[in-house]
Amino acid sequence: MVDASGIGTLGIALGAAISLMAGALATAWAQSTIGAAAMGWMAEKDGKEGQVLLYLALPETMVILGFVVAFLILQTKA
Amino acid sequence: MSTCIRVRGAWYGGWCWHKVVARLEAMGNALNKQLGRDLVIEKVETREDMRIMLNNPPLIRRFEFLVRFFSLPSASEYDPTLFIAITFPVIFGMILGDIGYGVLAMLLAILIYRGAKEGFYRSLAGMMLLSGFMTVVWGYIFGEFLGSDMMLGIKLHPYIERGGAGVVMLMAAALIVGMIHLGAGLVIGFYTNLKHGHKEHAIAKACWLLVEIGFVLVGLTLFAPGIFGSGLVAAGVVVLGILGLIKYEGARGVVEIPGLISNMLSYLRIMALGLSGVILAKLVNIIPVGAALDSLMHSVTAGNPVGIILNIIPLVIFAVVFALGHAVALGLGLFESGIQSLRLHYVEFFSKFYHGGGAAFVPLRGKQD
Repeated sequence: MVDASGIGTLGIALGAAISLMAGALATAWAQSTIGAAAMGWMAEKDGKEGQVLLYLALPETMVILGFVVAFLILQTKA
Repeated sequence: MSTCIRVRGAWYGGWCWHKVVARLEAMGNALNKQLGRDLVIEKVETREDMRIMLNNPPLIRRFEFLVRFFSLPSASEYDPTLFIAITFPVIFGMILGDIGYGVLAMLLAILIYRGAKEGFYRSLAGMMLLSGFMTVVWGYIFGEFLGSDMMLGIKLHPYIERGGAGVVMLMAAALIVGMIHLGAGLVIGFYTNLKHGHKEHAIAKACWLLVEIGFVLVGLTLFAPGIFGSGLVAAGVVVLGILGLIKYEGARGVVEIPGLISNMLSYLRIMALGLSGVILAKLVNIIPVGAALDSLMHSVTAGNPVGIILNIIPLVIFAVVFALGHAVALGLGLFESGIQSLRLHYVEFFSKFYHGGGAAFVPLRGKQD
């Protein structure tokens, strides 16, 4: 016997989780590539540590927006 | 300004701050009389290939590091240091938003200032001091002290409750801050273009401002019709702005409209990061330091030695983990708030009026501070 409201709650929970997961995976992928390239750049040029930090932080947008979407999904009533 | 000094058949050219040219000329004339030689000083005023030197009052000067990090202003731009000095602490404080962390940040700033003589650390200390102060202000608005709403016995009253019901208000506040920030950037871009005679670019910036205001009005009509409900006026403003963009910037301008929407939504990170910081602090607050202290006091008043020892061990462990937890939360908060606020300035704010690309003025001699 399937409880209809249970399915709704499951849907909301899964939706929020998938949203956050996709955002986190996207950010991880982007930052890994940026990090590898940034290490090469740092090895060739001197004094670029601060700039590297800034570039590494740029893809945070994706996980933040994923969190916002997950949060909005969690706000709905089943 | 460029000053040429011709010495013994050779000549030297260089850049010099216009405020010291008179002194330089006086020095040259005095040298002339002394040496009895032919010393010619020629003053050339040119805007080509200018060198850039930033000149700001002491507290604002701390933020020059952020401008240099991005790029010095080119010859036809305003120095954005003053604007960053105002808005960076505001956005930083809004993300961190905690009285306790703000006070700790200010204390840290004072320690760094005392401990370091080098230029970068002094700048960092100055920035952290202002940012910490704004964090305390926002912490008062959010009613948070180290994550909880009890500050050493005083119950704080939140105007926007971050941990619970006020999150939607926080989202709205973040978007409002974003719109003001972007609007200010566009206005600065408008004035910059106007001052340098690029009338078309100035009008294009004004059209962007119209588009932004139009989007704000549309958003209000859709989500808060109580404040502004006239969909027709909102749509009219947006269409007017878009028409202006087509005329003054062409198709390229219109294609960048989704970019403006993305910029406005980017400010939601203030809400997201703030929320995650609050959740982290609340997690650390679960550690029952108060309860352990209470049971220790009970054992002390009851005079029970075994009880005292049995209560001191967990108290110490709890206190250490509590302190470490809040230290980690503070460190993460400082780092993330700083970087994300900086990113909001570099990408969203600067793209509206600032392109940089200036070459630095490196003095041969001068006062270093």
